This record gives sequence, C-alpha cells and structure tokens, in this order.
Amino acid sequence: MSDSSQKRDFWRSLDELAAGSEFSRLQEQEFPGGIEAPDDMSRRRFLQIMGASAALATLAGCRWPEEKIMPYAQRPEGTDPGTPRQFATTFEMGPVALPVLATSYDGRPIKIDGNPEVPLSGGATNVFAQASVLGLYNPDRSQNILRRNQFGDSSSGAKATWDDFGTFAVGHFPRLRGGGLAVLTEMTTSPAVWDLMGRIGQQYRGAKLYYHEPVCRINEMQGARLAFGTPARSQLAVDKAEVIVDFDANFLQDHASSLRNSRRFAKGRRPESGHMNRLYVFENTFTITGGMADHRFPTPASHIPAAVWALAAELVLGEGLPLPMGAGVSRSDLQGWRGHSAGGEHIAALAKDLMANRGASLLVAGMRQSPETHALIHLLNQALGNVGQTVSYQPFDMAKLGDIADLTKDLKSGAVDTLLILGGNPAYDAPADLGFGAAMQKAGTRIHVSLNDDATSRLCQWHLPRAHYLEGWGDAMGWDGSYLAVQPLIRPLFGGKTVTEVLSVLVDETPRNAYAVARDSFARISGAGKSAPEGNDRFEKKWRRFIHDGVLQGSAKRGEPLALTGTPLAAPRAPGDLSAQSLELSIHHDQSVFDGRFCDNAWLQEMPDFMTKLTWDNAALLSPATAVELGVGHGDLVDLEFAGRKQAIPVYVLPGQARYSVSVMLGYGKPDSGRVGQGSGFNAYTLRTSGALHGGAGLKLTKTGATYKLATTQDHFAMDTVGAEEIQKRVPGLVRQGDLEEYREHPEFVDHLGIHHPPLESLWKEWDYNGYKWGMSVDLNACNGCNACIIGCQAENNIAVVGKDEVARGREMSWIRLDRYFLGDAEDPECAQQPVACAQCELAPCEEVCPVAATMHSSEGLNTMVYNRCVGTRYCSNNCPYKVRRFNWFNNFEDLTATQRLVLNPDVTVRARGVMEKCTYCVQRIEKARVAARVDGNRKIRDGDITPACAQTCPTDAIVFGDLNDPESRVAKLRKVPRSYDLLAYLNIKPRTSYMARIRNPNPQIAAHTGHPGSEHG
Amino acid sequence: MTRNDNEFQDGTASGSGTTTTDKFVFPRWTNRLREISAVAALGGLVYAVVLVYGVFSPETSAMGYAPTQPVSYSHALHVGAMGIDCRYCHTSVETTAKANIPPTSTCMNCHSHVRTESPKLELVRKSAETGEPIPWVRVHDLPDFVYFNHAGHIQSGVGCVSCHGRIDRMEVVAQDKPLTMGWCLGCHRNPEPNLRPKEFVTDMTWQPPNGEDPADLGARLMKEHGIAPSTDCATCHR
Amino acid sequence: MKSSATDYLNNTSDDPRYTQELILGGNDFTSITETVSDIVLERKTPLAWYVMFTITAGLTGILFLMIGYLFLTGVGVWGLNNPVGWGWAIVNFVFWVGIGHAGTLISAILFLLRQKWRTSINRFAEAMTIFAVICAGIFPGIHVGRVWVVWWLFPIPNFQNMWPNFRSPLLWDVFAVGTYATVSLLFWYTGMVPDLATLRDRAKGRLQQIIYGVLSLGWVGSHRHWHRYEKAYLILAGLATPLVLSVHSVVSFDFATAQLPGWHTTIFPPYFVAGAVFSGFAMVGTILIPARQFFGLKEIISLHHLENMNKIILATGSMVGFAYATEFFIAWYGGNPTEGFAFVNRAFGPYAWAYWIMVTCNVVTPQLFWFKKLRTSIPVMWVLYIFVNIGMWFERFVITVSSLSRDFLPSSWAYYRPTIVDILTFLGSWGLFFTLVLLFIRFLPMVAMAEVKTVMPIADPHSGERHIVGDYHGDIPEHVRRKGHK
Repeated sequence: MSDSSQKRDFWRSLDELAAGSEFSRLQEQEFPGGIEAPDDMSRRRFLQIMGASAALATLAGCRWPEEKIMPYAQRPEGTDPGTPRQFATTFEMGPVALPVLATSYDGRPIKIDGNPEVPLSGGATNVFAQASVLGLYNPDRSQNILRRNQFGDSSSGAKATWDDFGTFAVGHFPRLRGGGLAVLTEMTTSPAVWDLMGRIGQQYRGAKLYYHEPVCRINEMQGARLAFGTPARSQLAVDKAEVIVDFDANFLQDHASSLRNSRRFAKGRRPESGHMNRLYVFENTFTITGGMADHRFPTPASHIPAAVWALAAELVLGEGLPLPMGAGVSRSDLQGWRGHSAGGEHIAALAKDLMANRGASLLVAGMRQSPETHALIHLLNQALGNVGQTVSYQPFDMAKLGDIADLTKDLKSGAVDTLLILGGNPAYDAPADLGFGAAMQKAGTRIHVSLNDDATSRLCQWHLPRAHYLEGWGDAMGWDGSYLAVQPLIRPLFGGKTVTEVLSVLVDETPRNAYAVARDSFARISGAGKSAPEGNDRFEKKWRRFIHDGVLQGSAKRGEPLALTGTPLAAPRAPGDLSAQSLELSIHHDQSVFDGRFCDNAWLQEMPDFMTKLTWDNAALLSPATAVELGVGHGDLVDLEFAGRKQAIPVYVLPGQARYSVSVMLGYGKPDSGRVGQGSGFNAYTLRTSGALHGGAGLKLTKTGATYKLATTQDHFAMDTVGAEEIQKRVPGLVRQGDLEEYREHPEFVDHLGIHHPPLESLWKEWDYNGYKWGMSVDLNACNGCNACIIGCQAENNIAVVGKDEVARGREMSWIRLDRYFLGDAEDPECAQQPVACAQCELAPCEEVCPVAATMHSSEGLNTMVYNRCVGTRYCSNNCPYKVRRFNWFNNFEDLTATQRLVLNPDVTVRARGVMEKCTYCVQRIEKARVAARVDGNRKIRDGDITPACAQTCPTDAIVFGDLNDPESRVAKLRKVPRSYDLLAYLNIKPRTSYMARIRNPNPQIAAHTGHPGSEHG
Repeated sequence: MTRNDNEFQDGTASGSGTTTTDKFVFPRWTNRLREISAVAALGGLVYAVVLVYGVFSPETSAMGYAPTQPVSYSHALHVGAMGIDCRYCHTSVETTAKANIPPTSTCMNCHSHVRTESPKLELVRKSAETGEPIPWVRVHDLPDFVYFNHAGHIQSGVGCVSCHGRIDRMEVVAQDKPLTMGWCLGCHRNPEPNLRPKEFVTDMTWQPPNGEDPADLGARLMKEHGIAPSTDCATCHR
Repeated sequence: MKSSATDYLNNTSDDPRYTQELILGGNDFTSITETVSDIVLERKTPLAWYVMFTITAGLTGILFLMIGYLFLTGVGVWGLNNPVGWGWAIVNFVFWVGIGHAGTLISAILFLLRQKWRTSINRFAEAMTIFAVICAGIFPGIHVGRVWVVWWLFPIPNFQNMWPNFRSPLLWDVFAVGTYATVSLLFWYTGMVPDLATLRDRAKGRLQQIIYGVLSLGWVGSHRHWHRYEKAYLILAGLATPLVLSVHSVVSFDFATAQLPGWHTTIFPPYFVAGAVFSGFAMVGTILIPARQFFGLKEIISLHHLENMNKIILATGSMVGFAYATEFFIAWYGGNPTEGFAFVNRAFGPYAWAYWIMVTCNVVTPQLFWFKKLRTSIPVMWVLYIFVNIGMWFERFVITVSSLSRDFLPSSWAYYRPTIVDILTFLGSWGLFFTLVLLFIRFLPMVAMAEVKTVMPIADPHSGERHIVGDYHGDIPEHVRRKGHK
C-alpha cells in the first residue's frame, strides 16, 4: 500500500469523523480490528496530518513529501474545515454532573471547557473534566465485545459483535422476568438511566438494583435524612457567609458544587469590595481549602465528629445559643463535650466569632463524615440562623438501592442468576473484606459494561465496551437540579455503546438507541409533549435549544429551608488517643486519579498534587514530628497494617498533616491499568473495609528498610538547613501576604515586602508600545491552587507528558506551575501558593542571550518563542529568573500512538526534540482574536475577546488577561490596586504578569498568640 | 643535522655532510603552485556562483511546482474565460484561516446540468455519488510551523494575485511566488504596493484607477483601515 | 647518562655569583638536535607509548560513541534538568579552553618579554594548547538541542532574512574561540617549520622525508627564510598576545553578562584569565615531567624551567584565591540578599563538597610553592599539578552548576547529577587529548630545537668571554655558528 494512498484512507476517516455519518461502516473497511490501524502508521505521516513539528520540516529535507487535500464530497452545513466549533455537553463523575463546552476541530474533540451559560460551571471546569478528553483517545480503552468462559480468565477473551450480544440477550433475559436479575450500577444522576432502571424493576419480578461508588456521598444524603427526614442537596451561598467553618469537607474541591463554591468563596474575599470572609478549617491532611484557611486546625479525621460536638457544646452551653425546634440533641447531651480536647484550644474564640455572625456564617462537613455529624451540622446551621441565608436545601427522592455489601450477601446466598454491572470496577475498588470478586462467581451469568476490559470484566462472561461520554447521547441532573444535556461530538471510536442502550435491550421490545432514549427522557422531563416523533416542530425547537445550551433553561431549582425532624442524634464514640503505636489511617480519594478511573490518564498522572507536588504515585502522608517519632523519612517504604490487612507504601513527610494521622490516597496500584497507569503507586483499597471505608484508629506502621523513588516537581522536604532557612527568609518577598487590618492601615504594605533597591535603569533602550500591550494579573487572594489552569494549559498548548523518571529528573514540561511554600511551624504551617508562568518581561533576560534570536520581543510585549528557529542552547532558560522555560530533552511525541495524537491542538506547533518552549499567553488565541476583530468590521480587539486557557478555566477568576494600554480593561484596573506587585521587580525585568498580594483575615483573638510569618515583614 | 649546513648550498636542500641519503626536494611542478592556486581560486569563484544561483533559484523554493491533479480542472477556463469569482468555490476565504477546497457538491451545482457526460468529470461524478473525496494535490504547501491566515489578508485588501499569481491564466495551478519567509517579510515590511480596496481582492487584473501609483494608494489605504502588517514572530509561528 | 645527576641537573640556585645555565650537560647544537630529533627518527618507540596509546585511543572511541548516542537520542541523555540547563558539557568546555591558555601565553607573551627559558617548553605548551582547544571546541558544538542547525550561529545570508543575535555572548564565543584556535595553530606551525626541516634532513626513510619535507614547506634556512620567519613569528606573537586575554574574558562573559546570582559578577574576565593560565601551566607540567623523564630531556627542560613555571602557578593561583575572596566580599558588600545567598550556598549548600575541593586544590596547595625545596622537587610539583587540574575543573563546575541549581525562586531549586554518558564523554575528551599528545611526542619535535639553540651560550657571539643575553633576532654571525659546528 503506497504512502499516499494510506494517507488518503486515514484522511477520509478523519473527514468522516467530521461528517459524523457512516463512520462505523468505514471503520469496518479501513481499520479491521478497530482504530489501531493508524497507530501503525509512521510518525512522520501522522505529524503531517496533525499539522505539526519543526523537526519534520528539518528532517524531510528540501522538498517535503507530497500532501493531499481531501475535501468533503458533501460539506455538512455550518462546517468550515480548519475552524474549531464548540458543543455543549455534560461530564459526569460519580453522582456529580458538570456542564461543559467541548471544542471540536475537524470532528476531533480536543478540549473541554466550562459552560458559562450554566451557574454550576460559570465557564470554569475542574481538572477531571478537562482531562477527560484524553481518556477518549486512550488506546487501551476496550475496543471489542469480549466473551470469556472460565471465571477470572485473564486472557483477552474471544471477540464478539453487538449482534452476538443481541441474540444472546433475546434468548437470555426473558427467562429472568421470573427473578434472578441483579443490576449493579455506579452512581449517576441521569434521569434517562433511572427511568430505565425503574422499568427493569417493573418488568423483571424480583430484580434487585444495587449501587457502588468508591468515592461515595451517601453520608451527606443520610445526614439530611436524619435531620430533615429526606435526602437533600445542600446549596451553599458561600459568598454570603462572613465566617465559614469547614470540617474535613474541602468544600472548594470535593463538594458536589465545588466550582460554584470556589467562585463564591473568592467573591466573598475581595478586600477592595469591603467583603472579606473568614475561614476556619478542621482537617487531618492539607487540602486546598486548608491552604486558603485563615485558621487551620490539623485534627485527626477520627477526632472531627468530637470537634463538631465540642463546638456545638461551646455554642450552646458556653455562648447560650438556643437549640432550634426539633433539634436532635438536648443541652444535657452536650454536657460532656464542652472543652473536649478534639476541639482544640481555640474553639471558644471560634464559637464567639460564629455567635457574632449569626445568619452570616456557614458550617460544612465532608463526605467522609458520619450521617450524625452531618445532621449536627445541619442543626447548628439551623441554630445559627444560616438556613435560608448561607445555606438552603433541595430535597429529592433517592431510589432505594442496595449497596455492594448487600449484593455480596445476595450473591453468596445464590439469589443472583444474572449480574449486570453498569460501569465501575468493583472487582478492584470494592471494600477488601467483602471478597466481592470471588462472590461474583456465584452468579451464573455476569455482564460488565465498561470503558476498559478491567479486573471486573475479566470475571464476567460478557464485556461490553462502553461509549465515552463524548461519544454518546444522554442526560444528567446538576447539583442545583438543573437538567443537563449529554451529546456526542464523535462516533464511538471503538464501537462502544452507552449504558442506556444496553438497558434498552432489556426493557424495550425494540431497543432504542441512545439518541432516542435521551430525546424521550427530555420529552418527559421538559414536559415538551411525550416521546416526540421527528418533525414535531415545537418539540424539535425545544430539543435543539436544549442541546445547544446544554441545559434546560429554568430547570435549576432554588434551595428551600427544611424543618428539623428531631430524630435524636447519637453522640460519637469519644475518640481514642492516637500514638506512634496506634496511628490513624485516613483514606482519601486522589486529586489526580480520583478513585482510580483516571489511572490511565497521563495528564492527570503527571499533574503535581497541589500540596505534595507528587506525580505518578501516591504515598502515606505523615507529619514531620510523626515521621521523626517513627524514625521514618521521606521515600522510606513502610508496611501499613490495619484491621489485619497489610500494604506496603512509601512515606511522604507533609508539613501540616495532623499528628499521628496517616493519609493514603485511593486509585493507584491498579493491577488492570493500561500502558500509562502501569506500575504507578500503591493500592490503598487493600486496606479499605466495609466497616471502615475511610479508615480509623489502630494503624500500625513498620519500616521495611527499602526505599522508593517519589517524583515531585518541587523538592522542599529534603532541604538542607541553609536552603530551608533561606526559603523562610525569601518567600515572604515572593508570595506577599498581609493581614486585613494591616492592609486597611497601610494599603501599600506590599511594596515593603520585596527586596529594597535603588531606582532602576536599563542598559538597553526600553521599548514603547503603541498598539496593544498585553498583560496579566494573578490574584493570590483568589487562587486556591486547584490545578485547573495546569490541565487547561496542557490541553490547549499540546504540552508533552514526560513520565515519572523524567519528572524525577526535574524535566516536567508544564508551562504554568503552582509554587507552594510552607511557612512557620512544620506541624501547623501556613501555606503560600503562587501560579507562575512566563511573565513576558519587557526587559527580558532570555531575549538578550539567545544567539540565534529564537526568542524575540513582539511589538505588543510578548517574548515570542520561535520553536523552528531554536537551536537549543538553553541559555535563555539559565537566564530566566522565574525558570518557566521548558526544554524538550527528547522527542516527547515519538511514542504517542496515532489515536493519542488525535487530541493535539492543530493551532499550536508540536514541539520537536531539542527546542525550548514556554507560556505564550496563548498567542494563538490573540492572533485568532486579531483576525476576528478585522473580519468583524475592522474594529479594535475588545477587553475580554482574548482569554488564555488558564484564565478561561479558573473557577475563581484569579487570572485576568488584557490590554494594559486600555485604561478601561479589567487588567489595567487591577494593576492599580495597591496590593498589586511584580515578582522579582528589583531585577528591572518589568514582568507583564503581576500578582495581587494575598490578604488573610485572622481572628484577632487567635492571631494574638499564633503570630503567623506572612505578616512579619514590612 | 643542524640548520647551518643548508646555509652554504644557498637555497637548495641538497645532501649534507653527515648523511648520504638524498633528501626530499619539492618536485619541479610545485614551482607552478602559484598558477595552480590561481586556477583553483577561479574554480572556487565559479563554485560560489553556482551555489548562490542554486540557493536562490526558483526550483529551490518550489516556484513553478505544478503537480497534475486527479481532475484536470482549469482555472483558466472557469475563472479566466467564464469569470467565476474565487469566492464561489473558496467560500470561507474571507472569514477563516483556510480558503478551503470546495466540496464535490459545489462542482455538481453546475455539472449536474452542463457536461454531464464529460469523461473528464468521471471522478467528480463518482465522488458525488459515493461520497469519496477527490484527492487533490496540495500546491501551496507552507511548513507546518507556519500559520497563514487567509481572512486576515483578504480583509486587509491583499489581492489573491499577490500570492497566487495569475490563477485566471493557469490551466494547471502552479506555485507562482517563492513563499519563503524572506518573501513574506518583504511584503509585511513594505505592504503598500500590494494593497487594494477590499472589493477588488479577487480581481486578477485590477490596477489603481486613473493610473495612480499603487504604492501611494496602498499608503492611503493603510491609513484609512489602520493596516499595520506585523513582523512579530508570533504572527506566523506559534 | 651521567652520574650524580641531581647536583649538575640542579640549575635553580639563586647565588648571584654564578649564572645558571638554561641548557645543561654541556650540550651543543648537534647534541640538542640529536637528543630531540632522535626521539622521532632514531629511537625505538617505547612499549609504554603503545600501551598508553591503546588506552587513550579507546577512550577517544568512547567519546565518539557517546556523541553518536547523544545525537541520536537527545540532550536528555545527560543529567541536565530545569533549572540546571548547563552541566558538564559547558564545564568541560571552559576547563579545556582554560588549559589552552598556557601555550599562547608562553609562546607569545613570554616571547615578547624576552624570557629565554620559554624556549625549552614553548613547543610543548603550544601543542597542548591546540589539543586542548580541539577538545574544548567539541562541547559547545554538541551541547545544543538541534546540532543539525548550529550553523544558524554564523551570520550567513538566508531565505529567512534572519541574522544571529549579536547581543548574545554565545555568539561572541564562537568568534573568540574560533580566532584563538586559528592563531594558535598558525603560531605553533610556523614555529615548527625549521625543526621540521631538520627532521626532513635527518630522516632516513623516503616516506618520512617526503612527509616532513612537505610539512617544512621547503625550508632551507637561508637568510631570507630566517628573516621572514623571525618577522612572522614576531607578528604572530603580537597577534596572539591580546587573544590570550580576550578568549577567556569572552568565555567568562557567557556567565558574567547573565543575571544569575553567582554568574553576574564583574571580576570574571581577569579572574577567568588568571585561572586559565593557572590551569594551563599545571597541565603543561603534568605532561612535561613524564615526557622529560621518558625521553631524557632533563638537560634541555631543566629544573630551572620547571621552577619558573611553578612560580607562575604560585602567582596565578594566588590571584584566583584573591578572586574567590573578592566574590564573597562583593556578595556581602553589594547587599543583594539573593547574591549573598548564592555564595553562602556555594560554601555550605548541597555543593559545598565541590566548593571545598576547589578551594583546597586551587588556593591552599599551590601555596606550598613558596618553599624552594618543594618548588624544585619533581614529585611534589607533579602532585600539585594534578591537584590544580582537579581544582580548576571543579571551579568551573561550582560556578556553572551550584549557581544554576539554586537561583531566585526556591520552587525551581533542584540538584544536578551527571549521568554515565556525561562521565564517559568527559573521560573521552581526555582520551582525545592524550591521543593527540602521544602522536605529537612521537612524530613531531617536542622541543623547539632551533629556538633552544639561540639561548645557548655558544649562540652568543661573545661566548667564553662574558655571558650577555644576545638579541637572537636577525641572523647570528657565521663564525658564531661555526663554533657550534663540528
């Protein structure tokens, strides 16, 4: 097959992807055995297609190979090849639906952004949603329907077709109408799915429905049921709160509406606006919420219920807060708890602060906390008069489902004939004590619908490839009750089907496809007439509007206050004392791989954890003092022994970790992971039992003597004293912080934090900028370090993933990084963070030294980096004071399969080996806006026309970009705010990115005897 | 053997007192080294000239590259003779980065009525019914790290002819200009001669009215429309 | 060999009543010629030579293997990272360029200063210069990310209408080192022409005669030849002198013009030049001592020569020490905390070990040369030479790496470790260097016979009467030469 003809084939397939039509047919023709065919294509040809690298042009010699242009035969309406388009859809993870906009380039989804039309997102996204597009192109996704005969067949099984399954289903399922069918689903908010599940209940007598979600929010629901008699979603009006108390909730990241919370929290924290809330956090490990706290109390997770009760006692008994109607506790219940050690020395001050802000305070508990704790929090919010002010509730009825423990019981009892598993991977992530995998064998027939041929699939006769959410139709329900659309951007690459399609086979006499199911579901929910045939214009209009907006307008419900039912709340067991002999095990989901579902997602694997800066691994987090007491150090491999289970894992010493509390993250050490996730981290599920899903006291830690290499992007742990002292000295000048009082008295305090220097003069003639003058402002008071900007940048700018070993060498490629420093007492430090990317200096040190003029100053003040001119002396990087330049030590794209390359953004050059790269302020977007402005009647670029990827995805609006020459632009205004400062200004490099100092709002009573280092200077 | 021996046999390195081995003497022809080197120098000059010519010759920058296309579509006929406007087929040229090769359906707009039997159009008809695209060969092929934007140029009033030459006279489309970075910069640094009122961009033969010097007109247009072609690297390289 | 070697070989006495001969053992012109040229022509190559050559050639092989691997894979095969963008490659470059300084200094500056003692060692030193510069030249070439486009560093007209960035010190480097290499080579070769002629005249084998014949460019030693020769030599010396100072100054700009704390220092140029001369002499000594031992050149390269070298080493070593002190003083006096930390970090940070190796080898040990006994003891000086070589490599390492590894933002601090490829490449460059040295002593006159003769008493018109230092430029009267002629 000749070079060009192969290329043509692939091109066509691309165009067909774009056209959307007939893809599967072509797929059969072009790629027998799935899309892998293009993976065998030579890298060069692929790069031509992807419109890429300088190396190509260099290597291909004087006349590069002939290229073909393959226009559509029939160009679909509204498509301009080479012009990206956006579609609204919804990303769902666990029972949390996130409305997003997906960008499609010639039919390839390449980027996920928040959907600005929907308040839940407000244009922002989290790292998971953004990285999910990479999952679409994961070549290790399952590509066939597989049949396995013997149980636990680790082989790849026998390939089958959907028709085979169809015939099987027709023969098999009718038998089950008498009973014996069990369906295990992961948590979803999709009304379409629940409708189909309901009909299973009707059509299959005795059919049992179960759910399993390793990272589960059921406690919140049960807590609400305890308090109000009904499950409810709490809607947090964080921006209205003056005082916020977070009990292990990490409400800026882990809460179901965390994006909205983040935005509102930042909104309530702008000192210029006069509104400055105060945040108290009780948590055992350092979360981003803890990082934002004005007062953070490191508290073992098992002590937190007691802390809540101590606070309640302090409020009621100490401050005389009257208990509300229908309170589940009496004053006498609280007696014993007043001044309980778990509350810490400052509980009284906290209570006073809350009393002073009744109706304007907010208490939140985390999903790991017990229903009782949640109920007590509800009670306290009620008592403090916050309900209706800072918090309101959305009751909803939740289908009664068994959990995985029930299922295991039923399996063992032999009550299950056929087990249908929708998504999830219980064989890997079910509580270890259940022995779920083994129990599955009891079911005669086992079917697993899943993205990957994973551990669970290997225990089933049928593995059905599931369609990625960007490949199939569906719907979802947002946390605020809004009805959201899920629409595909591309035909299933690997011929997968949606869960609804599989369920439809069970309940519909003529199975419907996902599109039909979604439409019917929409018809039902929107009340736009029932299942509408094509051609019903009124319905068609509504439907089109729905999938255009991605949300059913007006479907979001308002929260309402709920009355307490007075169900008595059992007090928690008094927490046992922890010690080096009996530590606390605290199990968390991971902020990179979540519950393990992203184990094969290279972007997330390489994304440094906000606090630990750890990549590609998890570890046992210990506080410095605990580590010293146990005689273990960073990187020591230790055995964790809990409830008779053992797991080896390396130690990471994290300042601010609660004493004697050992945190481990789930989702690593996945035996069934693909190429990317292979050998990353250690499996913490082995320590997880149904009795103690989130751990508890009684953990033994023993040294194995072995050590393990951890790859971090910032080395602060193993710092020699000289360095450590210098950091403490230097950081306050870099990440500038001050107290609210201080700021009100001397607004210019930031200017005194930096290095003092004489008036600065430049050797070179300085530039003048007559046109645009791009600049950026980063508000450290808003940035909470959620990492969203890092992934946003990675997706937009084709940033390479280099792998663990390279990261360990210090060769990570990310253009924007989050610097994180710990200040003060290592046991209870203050956390200072700062996003750093190229600041586009006006007197740029990099530009002076490049011998070939590969990095040049643009007339608008950008330090443009010209990859195709770069010879790679790395002199620019040496001379860059921010060290934000990244060098391609190897050809980082060589190993990518053709499928993986589909995610690359054609508007940005794929960098070759041996060239330098760095943040460009998303210059491709600037140029796009420039042309757009010219096309649009030759106008000037308006403020807001250009949004760099990092700013676009930021949930807190911490990053603002614009034209400094336009006094009306947001960024120009922010520059005038007194707490705005330049990083390393004394070098006279005139950075275009400036920072706004972080303002803390400590409680004067507490700050009095814990002076914090941030404000020592001035 | 020390140096003072040679001193007496003035200039020639003949035998010495001590050893009898006859020593190496530069052969006679070496006396002509001067002439030889002169010739060599000349040769070098010729070589240099050839080299420079080679480097700057059109072939090197693929000027005149005119591959045979799967369908012998003639711009000379459609544009030149029939006067079809470029934008009839290259629809998105004014609004997007790519001018875009038309879909087969565009051809069929006419050819479903005219020349429905023409063998030349075999492939076109086939494509129309099967949906298989026509594999056109790319003529104007910039390196992949160069981002050219048609809309930007059209909107600024740069005529198609400035970069593509007299398409209306081409039976087979050929690359008419060097399309090298130096060439691009030439216009970006001194755009006046290549600017025209927007409405005439697709006009292949347009001349400034009443014999005005294109440069003057261009200068005027630049002022009116605020056209300031950038020579920043990022304008083309990202 | 003569008995009681030590005393008659010791011409280092400072007693003013006797003038110390430079060339000992009553050598005359012929004997000089024989001793030197026989090494090349008559003497059987010692087995040791073959052994060493195999080793060094092997190392050279490894060097090219490593370079090949580097080209195929990428600069990532080295231990570099972000922030440490320059590592061993640049360290080695600066190290070798430094070594290359002694040669030109001896041949050019000492020549203009009429230092007679230079004649015995200049040939050697110049050869070493060339070889060192060859080794140095390799590194900047291979350390870039895309070797296949390095020619963009040269101002060549092109399609892109692009010039290199003339503000970049790296570009200055290209020119400075290039010029230096060229001039040194010319200098060395010009100086060698008469001796090559001598070899030609003494050679027995036809092939040898032809090769040396061609190399000696038809030299016959006529008046005219000598006249032109001396002129050319003088001019080249004049040209080379400023280069001695310029090259390493420019190399130091690579660091000094950057704003990195620890690089951004105004004293770098003199400090680097002093260091270069320092290391250069040490390297000359390192090779000279075994050579003179092996090939019986003790009389020609006498203790006096070595002592003089050691005095220069003592002087330059102290200069370097002074520079170290100044750096610290300025870092403190300048009052820039970042600058201050850069030096505290050098002395007490993660790279302290390297720093103290550097200080010990470069500043402390050379002070032993204050004592004449040690200064004139062959074993002692040889060990010290080795020390200096080590110390000067570490100086470059400390400057380059320790500064880069900890700059402005602590978040980007990192520790640099070389990979095996780094190490083998460096060893390889030593291999190349010594291969060339071995070839040189085997096939070329390692002492400038013609020049040595001019500083011998018998070259003096009044020899036998009083010792006057004669101007040995221009031709020496015939009768004088007659004396020498047997």
